[in-house]
Amino acid sequence: MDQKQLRYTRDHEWIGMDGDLAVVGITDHAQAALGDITFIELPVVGKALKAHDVLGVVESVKAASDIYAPVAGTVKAVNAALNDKPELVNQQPYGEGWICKLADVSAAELAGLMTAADYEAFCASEA
Amino acid sequence: MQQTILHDRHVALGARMVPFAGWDMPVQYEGVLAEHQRTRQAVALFDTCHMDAFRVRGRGTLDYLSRMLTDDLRTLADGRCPYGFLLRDDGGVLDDLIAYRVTAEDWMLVVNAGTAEGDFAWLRQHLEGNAGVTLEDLRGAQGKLDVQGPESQAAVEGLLRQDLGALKRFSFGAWRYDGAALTVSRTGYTGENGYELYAPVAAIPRLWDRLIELGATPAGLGARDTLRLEAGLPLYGHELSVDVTPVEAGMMRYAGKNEPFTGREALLARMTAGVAWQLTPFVIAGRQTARNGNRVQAADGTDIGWVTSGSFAPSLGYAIGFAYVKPAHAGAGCCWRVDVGRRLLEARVTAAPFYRR
Repeated sequence: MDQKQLRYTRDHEWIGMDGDLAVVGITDHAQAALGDITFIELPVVGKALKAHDVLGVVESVKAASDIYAPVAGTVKAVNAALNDKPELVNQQPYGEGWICKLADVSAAELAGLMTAADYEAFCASEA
Repeated sequence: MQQTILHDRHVALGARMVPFAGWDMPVQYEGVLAEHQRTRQAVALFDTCHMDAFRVRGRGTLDYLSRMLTDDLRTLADGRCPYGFLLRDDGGVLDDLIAYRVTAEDWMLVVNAGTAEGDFAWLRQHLEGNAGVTLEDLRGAQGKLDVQGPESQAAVEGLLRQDLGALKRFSFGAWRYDGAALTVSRTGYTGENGYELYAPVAAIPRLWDRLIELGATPAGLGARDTLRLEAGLPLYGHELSVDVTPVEAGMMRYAGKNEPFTGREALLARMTAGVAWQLTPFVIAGRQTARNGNRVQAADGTDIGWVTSGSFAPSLGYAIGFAYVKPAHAGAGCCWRVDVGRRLLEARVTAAPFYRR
């Protein structure tokens, strides 16, 4: 996914359209902060989520961290490769490390999230 | 917060620094998994200057330490350094430590960072009636480095320009490097072959630099913890504390000597009465881990204990850990559920060490 076209949340998730599904992952900033990821609890396909519902959990050696739904939607696909290779999230957070795809997302909700430039500024301000 | 003499080097290497026992220490450089693999496959270098050491010597030291420590010190040869415990009168563990016997009346005790001050006070408190014994805290004078991994012998031989083939496990010797006096023991906390090096603090930076030149990779506290857990080694504050004795910890082989020592009566009483909790290794059939403090349940949901340490094991591919559980549930093959907050994970009792070379 092209980072510049994605939208971002304050919890360091990214989301971007791929056809009529919205792909969700965590950002490079998030994966670096977590360290080596050792386990990902993926959502169940078919689950309906509201914005900011817990979508899954990412575990690194030292800590566990919730992943939140950036917008409302229904889980249509999950990246099963992460079950055996959670390190893909560290290595390719915007590519092979995608977490799930949501259907029925609202364009308006998406547009309300941070742009790449907003997110960069947000990260800088958090530092 | 305190810093070791290597602090600036860690920061320059891009290490993530975290507080540990009052010290600003590197938890990782490249990454915990990479550093863990390097230790298991090559050679890694750990800054362990936050640990402390005491020099105990003078007439009467052997009798004094034999009473204070659980290890059998009298039958040791000079140059040996066994593992043992410092106990309270009630058998509670004040610390686990390594006791280096230079001679019968000249010793170095190497203790944990978080417990050093308490250990020193306890030892000093019990010095009365031992007028010939001096107790000296080497904090600020001596530093420590751990060199661990299958290639560690070659690395330390390269450093010392000496053959180390005759140095046995839990033994040590004196060498020199670039004008500094070193103590080197064949000991460690990773389950791999390895060495612990003690030197004047001022010599530590150039020892570190030279070992890196010789091929050692810096490794932090994150890897130190995954390595020791895989090797089945306890961590003070988790598996060991003043609230448990070596009996509960299943470590009476380090406290079984047949002579008086502080805490012995309590241990004998505990062995007669039976323990309420037993330290038990477990595995989880998956990558998701339990962590310190998680409650353990029997299959029917009753609470049977708590997790002391838990982690994904990089060399195994699944999660492992230790828990104190009621003895009835500590048998090989027993199945538990561990409450990790959002879920119950299925766990099974196993035997330590979890990882063997």
